[in-house]
Amino acid sequence: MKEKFKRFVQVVGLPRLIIGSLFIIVLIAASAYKLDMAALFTNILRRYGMWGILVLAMVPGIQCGIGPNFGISLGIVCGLLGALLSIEFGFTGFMAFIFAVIFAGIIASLVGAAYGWFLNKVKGSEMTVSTYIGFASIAVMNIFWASAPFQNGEIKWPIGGTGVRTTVSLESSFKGVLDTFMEIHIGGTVVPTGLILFFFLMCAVVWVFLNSKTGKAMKAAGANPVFATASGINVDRMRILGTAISTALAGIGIVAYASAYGFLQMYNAPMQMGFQCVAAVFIGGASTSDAKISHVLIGTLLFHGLLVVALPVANKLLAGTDLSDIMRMIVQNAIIIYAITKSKGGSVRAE
Amino acid sequence: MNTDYRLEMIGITKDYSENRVLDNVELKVGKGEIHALMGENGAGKSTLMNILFGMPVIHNTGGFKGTIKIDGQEVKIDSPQKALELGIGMVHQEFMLIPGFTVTENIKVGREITTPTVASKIFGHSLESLDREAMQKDARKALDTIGLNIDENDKVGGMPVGYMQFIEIAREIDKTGIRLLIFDEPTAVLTESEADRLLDAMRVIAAQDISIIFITHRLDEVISVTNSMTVLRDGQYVGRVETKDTTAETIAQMMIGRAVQKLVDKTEETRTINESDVMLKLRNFEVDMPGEMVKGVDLDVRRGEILGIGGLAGQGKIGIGGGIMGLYETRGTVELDGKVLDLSKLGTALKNGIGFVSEDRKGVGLLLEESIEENIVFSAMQINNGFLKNFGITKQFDKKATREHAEKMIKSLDIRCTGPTQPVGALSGGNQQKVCVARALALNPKLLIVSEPTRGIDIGAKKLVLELLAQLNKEQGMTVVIISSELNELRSVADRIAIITEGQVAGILSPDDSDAKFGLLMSGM
Amino acid sequence: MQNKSGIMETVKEIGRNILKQKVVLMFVALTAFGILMADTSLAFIISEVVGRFSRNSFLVLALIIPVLAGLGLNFGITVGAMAIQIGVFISVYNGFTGVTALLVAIAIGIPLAILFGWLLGKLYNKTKGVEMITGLVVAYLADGFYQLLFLFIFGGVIKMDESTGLIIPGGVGVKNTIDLDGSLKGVIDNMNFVNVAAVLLVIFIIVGIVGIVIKRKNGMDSKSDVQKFVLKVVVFAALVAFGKTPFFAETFGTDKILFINAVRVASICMLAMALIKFVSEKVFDKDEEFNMAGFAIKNVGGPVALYALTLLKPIQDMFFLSKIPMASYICIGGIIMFNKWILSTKLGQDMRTVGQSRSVANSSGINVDKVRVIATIFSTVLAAFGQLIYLQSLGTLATYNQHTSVGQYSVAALLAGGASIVAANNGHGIVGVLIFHALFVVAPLAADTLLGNALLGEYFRVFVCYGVIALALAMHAWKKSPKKDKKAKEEAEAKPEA
Repeated sequence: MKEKFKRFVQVVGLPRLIIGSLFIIVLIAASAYKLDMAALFTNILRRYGMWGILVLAMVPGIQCGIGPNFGISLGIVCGLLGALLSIEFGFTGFMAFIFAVIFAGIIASLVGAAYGWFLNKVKGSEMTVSTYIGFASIAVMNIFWASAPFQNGEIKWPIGGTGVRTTVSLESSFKGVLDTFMEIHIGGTVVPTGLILFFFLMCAVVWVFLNSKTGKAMKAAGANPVFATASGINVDRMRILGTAISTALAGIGIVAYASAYGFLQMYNAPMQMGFQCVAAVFIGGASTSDAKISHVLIGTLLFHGLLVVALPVANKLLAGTDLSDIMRMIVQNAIIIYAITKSKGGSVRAE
Repeated sequence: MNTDYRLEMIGITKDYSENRVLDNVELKVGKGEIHALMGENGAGKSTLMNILFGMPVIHNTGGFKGTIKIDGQEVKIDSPQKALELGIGMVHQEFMLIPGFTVTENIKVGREITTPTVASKIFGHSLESLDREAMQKDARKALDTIGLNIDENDKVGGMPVGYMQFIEIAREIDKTGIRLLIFDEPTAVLTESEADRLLDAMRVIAAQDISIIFITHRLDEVISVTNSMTVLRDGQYVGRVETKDTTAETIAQMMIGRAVQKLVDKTEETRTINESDVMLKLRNFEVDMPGEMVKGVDLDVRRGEILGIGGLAGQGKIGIGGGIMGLYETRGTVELDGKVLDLSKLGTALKNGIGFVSEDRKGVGLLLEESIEENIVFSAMQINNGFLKNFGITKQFDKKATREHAEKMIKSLDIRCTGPTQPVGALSGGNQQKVCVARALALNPKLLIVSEPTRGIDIGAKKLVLELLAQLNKEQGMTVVIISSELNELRSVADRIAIITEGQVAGILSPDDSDAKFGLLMSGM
Repeated sequence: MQNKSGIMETVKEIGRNILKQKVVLMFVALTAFGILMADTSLAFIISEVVGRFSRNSFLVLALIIPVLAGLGLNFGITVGAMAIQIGVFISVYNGFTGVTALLVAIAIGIPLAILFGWLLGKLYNKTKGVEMITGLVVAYLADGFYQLLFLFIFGGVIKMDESTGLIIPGGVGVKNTIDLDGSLKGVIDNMNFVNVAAVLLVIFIIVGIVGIVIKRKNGMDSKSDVQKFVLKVVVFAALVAFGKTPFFAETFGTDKILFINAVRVASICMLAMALIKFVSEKVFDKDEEFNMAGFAIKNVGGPVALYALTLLKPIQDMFFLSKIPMASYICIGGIIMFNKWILSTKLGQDMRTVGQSRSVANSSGINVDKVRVIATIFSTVLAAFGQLIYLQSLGTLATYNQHTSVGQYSVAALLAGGASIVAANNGHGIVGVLIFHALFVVAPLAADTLLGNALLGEYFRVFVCYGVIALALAMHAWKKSPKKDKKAKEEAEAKPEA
């Protein structure tokens, strides 16, 4: 029996087991407090779709060998820029979303390629460097947001002043275009079909890429650079490719996120998003050197599901406090540290 | 004859699991004597030294049998610490020096001279303050002893390699009570004049009643500096001779000498090899592989033959394979069927039909976490666009074709596994090697370069791998280059054997040439 | 003639060294540009920088030991700050004031800091090579636990007295800001530094006597040691006695004193040290080669010139707003001495060895893991003291935010001073704090005059903070990459032949 339990822990993985149990416990607590379960499930699904693509952005990064991409805030600010451009050009509804995705994808992949080139220069220290590149990029963009000459009334401050508002409403552009697409009502639960389908579509695209010749080459470059070189693969180029894809996914991901959320959160809002994505994929079972799409699917559900349910439960437990945010901080950072201690020291992988 | 020994190691036997690496070996070193420890790679020199040093690797694997005596007294060395206490020191092959420290700090590292302070009385002796003056004095004394005239306050970083070797030695002789010093291939990194000075220093040290064990492959140095030597071969004790009573030929004979046991049964010769039909031509070929520098090799590989490349570790034979495959920077020309290859472009050799099985199976040869099938088809997929389904915009991995091919290879190479999806990391060494060969074969190469094909695999698997190579050569007419440290295995399968010494071809021999010929070529004489 | 070329060489050498410090130069240029642009008096900027210097430099200097021990930049010092904040809260909650409050905060905070440092050190040993990202994430993780403590344990799980005004009335948890006025505010800043010096004198005498006894026991004492010690005590005591006179208190002040006066006091102390040095070398050691003129220029000329400068009107104008909390500066002096002293011990040498090469250290019988843990504990504890100095100077504690940027800003300041991930010293720390905070002060001001938007300057300085860290990390990794290695090696090999 004990042996069986050990095997079980090994197969499922300790972090998934702990977070999974926590998730179940808060779910039980939620129903015990007689919370509106249907609304909770609606929230879980929505949150799942919102964060999915951002977490998916971790996969190409880890597979190409740069490790967990703490710097996806770089991609996120590109995505925000893409969304702003789409609004500025006056697109509305679904078209606004499509153009936001296109702009975000193009800008983010170009920036991501440059970022990948830079990360090739700092092999072995990617985690720390990418974290600070992420922070610095937000600070740079803060300067840009505060002085950018956008003209659209939704973007600029209502009365005087230059620059972009801290939150840009998407009411008149692409708020909810995904959620409402083929929306399904089951009991009280609303399934944001479009949002989740878009996430799955992105997963499928990434899956196809990973199973292509180039995708396989990229994975080999990440898993064993010398092996890849010996098979005639340009490792540095593969790392640039992986980083660019990761960054582009982050850019597209934030557009999907914002469309469901209804606002673009500018300035310092994306600061900690990188950490949340890293934590989610680790909870899903990824390590600093290996990540699969299944890790994204599981990790996002567990981590964000937990956070969604924990909020009202914590409020019931101790009214007027933000216990769930504290729990997020602890869970998120503890899992990252756990994963780092499990990586074989030195750099992202043992040399 | 000196019968009063500083060190006696008697009846030393050591097994690593089933594998006997030392069998009843004896080593006796006189007081103030320079004694050479000779033998090929794998003869058991380093294991013997590990035993003398009480290294954990010995004691974690079940210890050893036999006795060690120092100055006639039987001792038990169970930790490196103990060895140091007994006055045994080692000059490392790779420098254990800190570039950012001064010469003094390096010599005194870990053994700083300190004086007690108020804080150290309260918080323990690690807060004692350093007595830099006394440390400098000691360092100066040690440096003077070996005749190195450098400022003890200079930083080590940026000094010539030769100096670093001397600083290492100074550190050893600065240790109090040092009685026995081991020099492990100290001259390998030195220029000729530096090596001469080192030998002088060794004589000076020996004159102070410090015994020296000198491990080297350079026979000329052994003859010029040592008093006596012990020769090991395949973990066996061959003998102890006084240097003045012997010659280089005898020593070479002792090191190599063994009845060649053919690992592969000779079969009837059906091939015809045309001496002038050269497939691969290396001219003035240089490779910057760290630790295995190739310094100007001229070599021809004839179509249809098996060419063996042998030599001691670190002499550059490994670099030839890595260099051709473009893993390291190269100079000189490589011609395949009359066409000059541009090795600076990645994958050139593969695209031109050269298959490669690396000596570093786990590092270079395999994706350990991936399945057997993906490993087998990987190169063919990347180089020849094999095992792919073309959808126009994207070429997708063809699982079905891969599975079929992998199953075929598993059968024909007899890879023992649970199935084509098993991760290769879980396979045994011999089976991993077969996967590597299968991956090279999936490219349909006309020339196969195999580096250290039998390293780290057991004797039965060795035979299988070698037979496989011979069979490929014979039945498919594939030209094969085998690079190996094990002369025996080259002599079993190769048609010709090139010996690489100090990064160059020392000579090309027939498998049936005498042991002494091989020994002398390998020792650079 | 030869002398002249020698001087030229020295000048060139200095020039080369300055050019090497590209980061520092960049910061100086940025700051200088900012000062020129800012529409504010120099005196104001200087007083701001001086104030920030006395608050922040201790924290920055707490980062040096882990760098030497090869742990890189210890972003984890945040946990030290949290430890002392717990101590401060408990101390203030229990109504302690003044020096008692200080001692209680230390008595609670420092053991906690030791514990946290130990845990952090253990964790660093599990993540060798990636300590920096570990430290960063640990800071966030610890923040979670810290909030848990202050929001739910204090006032929630443990019932606390609301009448202290520190607990959210009717709710759970500790208030957002804790006013330290009347308890800890200015406790160190406003201390009478002459009294501090007197205490130090007593300690100096005790340590000196014990030290001589120990030396004698080991048979290493010499007559001149005793003579020198007595001389130092006499001069030190004379200085303290001078400080105790009403004349001193009236002319210079005894706690927070004008910058000009602080410089004067410092130059008097330097003259006293020159006197000690002179008597030691000339009279006790009877040094034959003692160069009277050179000595006078070096050791007497400097302080005299310094004193003379303080008499100049323009200088007085520049600094008339700046005040120096002398006792805090004594603390900063203390940590500088501590960092230096550690390096002169066996432990310090072990740390350096571990920092340079773990494998060499290991084979030389040094317990690498233990040394790394000790270094982390030192850093954490020093950071706790640093945060205490910061808090008492500021006078309020933002319960939930005060510690969050401690790691980032301290690291950025150290790097701005020219330190790197593998090399840092007191000089880097001091220079770094000065220019980093000067930039911090002027950036919004300059942006306001230049662009009419102070916010941009604010964003810019945040960017500078992250940017300098990213730059330092990248430059270090760049240097480490194999290609560069090879080039460096080739250069090293080419050298001896040249």
